[in-house]
Amino acid sequence: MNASENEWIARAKQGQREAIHAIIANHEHKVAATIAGILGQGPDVDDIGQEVFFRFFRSLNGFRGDSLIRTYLTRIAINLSLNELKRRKREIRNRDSETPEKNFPFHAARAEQRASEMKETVRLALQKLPLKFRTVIVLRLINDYSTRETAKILRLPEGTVLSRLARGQAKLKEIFEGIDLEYNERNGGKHE
Amino acid sequence: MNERFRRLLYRSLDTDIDDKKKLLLQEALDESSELRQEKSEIEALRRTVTDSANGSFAPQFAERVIRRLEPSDFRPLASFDAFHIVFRSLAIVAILLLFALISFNAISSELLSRGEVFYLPEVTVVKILELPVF
Repeated sequence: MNASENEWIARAKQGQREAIHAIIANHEHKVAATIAGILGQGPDVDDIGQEVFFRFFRSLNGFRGDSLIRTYLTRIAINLSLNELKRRKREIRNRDSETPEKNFPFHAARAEQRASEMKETVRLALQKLPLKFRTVIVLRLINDYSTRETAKILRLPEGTVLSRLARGQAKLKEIFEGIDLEYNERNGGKHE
Repeated sequence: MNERFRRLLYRSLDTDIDDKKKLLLQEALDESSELRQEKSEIEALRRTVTDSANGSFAPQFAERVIRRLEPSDFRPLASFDAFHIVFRSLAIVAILLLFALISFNAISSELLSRGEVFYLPEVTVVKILELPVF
């Protein structure tokens, strides 16, 4: 952790609003990208983001500073996003009356996605990716963490991260090809 | 496509590979158009994913977090923690003193009655009857 981060932390511990604001402003983009990458964009992203920072500041006295704030925050963001996914799965299981088509946000949003931009396509493709691959891809490609940092955040060996990255990208490629194929079938091959 | 080189290709994008492996990969890329195709596809995919990063919350995010922190504020939490630590230490000392007192009474008393161990006066019916009536 660098000197200025240490200073912000010390001031935030004293309850200085300016320091809290600065820490949030410095890290909110990475936290948002992590949550949106895992859960997909939606109203929950903001709520979970708030919870991430809330928990971070509430446990600030226990923050030893042996890891970077961004690593610590990303870890909280991943844990809360995974909890949210579990909650959603439970909710889906409990909702007997709903058709499987409605259970997956990917299918629900698919109709709108056709005319939307690439960003939306990537978001949908990421949601189709198994979670263990999705988390490494979000951290490495979207959040631009190094392989070593990704391994540290996920508490995995670097070799596992590399292997999941490779398999995840291969799967993502297949998903993109599937989306393209489906689009072409619907639109008579006019997709760029 | 040779699976070994494909794996090496993916690996080279995320970590440093040694010079020997770099050379091997380069040779494989020169020889295989399929591997070159895979490389350009995967690099395009990575660029697409990286460019799609959507890292922002709704405006005034920091304010919302600060508002959530304010009612409970973390300084009172710190004072509560300090109170908790002091109370716990005092409770431990009190329990130890109590045990010391019980042990002392138990050892020093010839009669090991409960009243003597806890230094309780023996109350008899006569004594109760002799209590002054107001």
